[in-house]
Amino acid sequence: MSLHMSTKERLLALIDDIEIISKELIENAIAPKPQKISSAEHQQLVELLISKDNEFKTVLQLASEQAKIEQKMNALKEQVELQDREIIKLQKHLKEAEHMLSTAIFQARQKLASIEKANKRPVSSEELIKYAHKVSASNAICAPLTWQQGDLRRPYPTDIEMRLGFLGKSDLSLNGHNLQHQISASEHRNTGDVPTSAQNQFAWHPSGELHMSMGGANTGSVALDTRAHKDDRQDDVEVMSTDSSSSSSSDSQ
Amino acid sequence: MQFLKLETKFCYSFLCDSIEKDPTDNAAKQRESQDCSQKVLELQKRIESARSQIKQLPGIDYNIEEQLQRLDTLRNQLTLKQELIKKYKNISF
Repeated sequence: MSLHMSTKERLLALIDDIEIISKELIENAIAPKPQKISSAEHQQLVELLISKDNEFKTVLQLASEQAKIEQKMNALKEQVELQDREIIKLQKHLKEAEHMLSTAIFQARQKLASIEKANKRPVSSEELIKYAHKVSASNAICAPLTWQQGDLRRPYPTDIEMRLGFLGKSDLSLNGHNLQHQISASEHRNTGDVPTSAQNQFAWHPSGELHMSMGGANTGSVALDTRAHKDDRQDDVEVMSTDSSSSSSSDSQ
Repeated sequence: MQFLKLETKFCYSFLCDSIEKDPTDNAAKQRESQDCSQKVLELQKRIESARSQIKQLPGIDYNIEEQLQRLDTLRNQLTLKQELIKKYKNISF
């Protein structure tokens, strides 16, 4: 039984036994004569106490050896903890390396796929340069190198440029008939049929008013009062397109 | 440990004194009995302190065989972990 008990339990058990034996001896010493135990029993008790004491000393010696072993074990536990920390640190590094490698491999695969895609439909560099030149010729991508604040040039067609263009000229021709005939003739040539819109319900009068023709038989026309609006529109357009300060502020927006 | 040994010596000296001395005088007897009761209480206290000291001793939670087994296990654990670290540090991909 004592083999399976821990040293602590053995020591405590021995202390209890010594206490009990001592109590017996003391009670026997103070007991009246008729109640005292025989000398043989007394001797046995004393011998038992002595043997318990010897056993106690032996187990105490064992406990001191176990304490030394415990110190060695504590030192070993510290070393094991150091190794554990080292292993955790290495695991962390490995995890980071694995993450970086997987990211790099993913990006490399994407690049290989885009290279393969590009190789399937190759484009000559000259064509790319020509196209880039066309796109950037209008200065829509980047301002010209000589451009400064106050410059009237814009990356989009301005009002003046629009008026000078085909659309602006075709609008002006609505006032004069020559261009109108030219247009209708060209339309005859192209389509063979004069659309109703070409007959121009609306026409610019030389005075500057917009006239609306009333019916086919009637040759009269009604002047539409657009002067005020037109002036405002013109002012707005001028402000929007030619005024550098306002346009620059709008650009800055 | 030394204190525990002193405790046992005290028990013996106390028991010897109580057994050997047998005064006939009543006053002396009374004195003696008072001394005895005090010494009994002191003995009890010392036994209690011996118990509390035993409970505080390190490394006696297991018997010697179990402790040596645990020591072996710890040594093996340490060796294995050191080998593992060496292996992973020296590995070439």
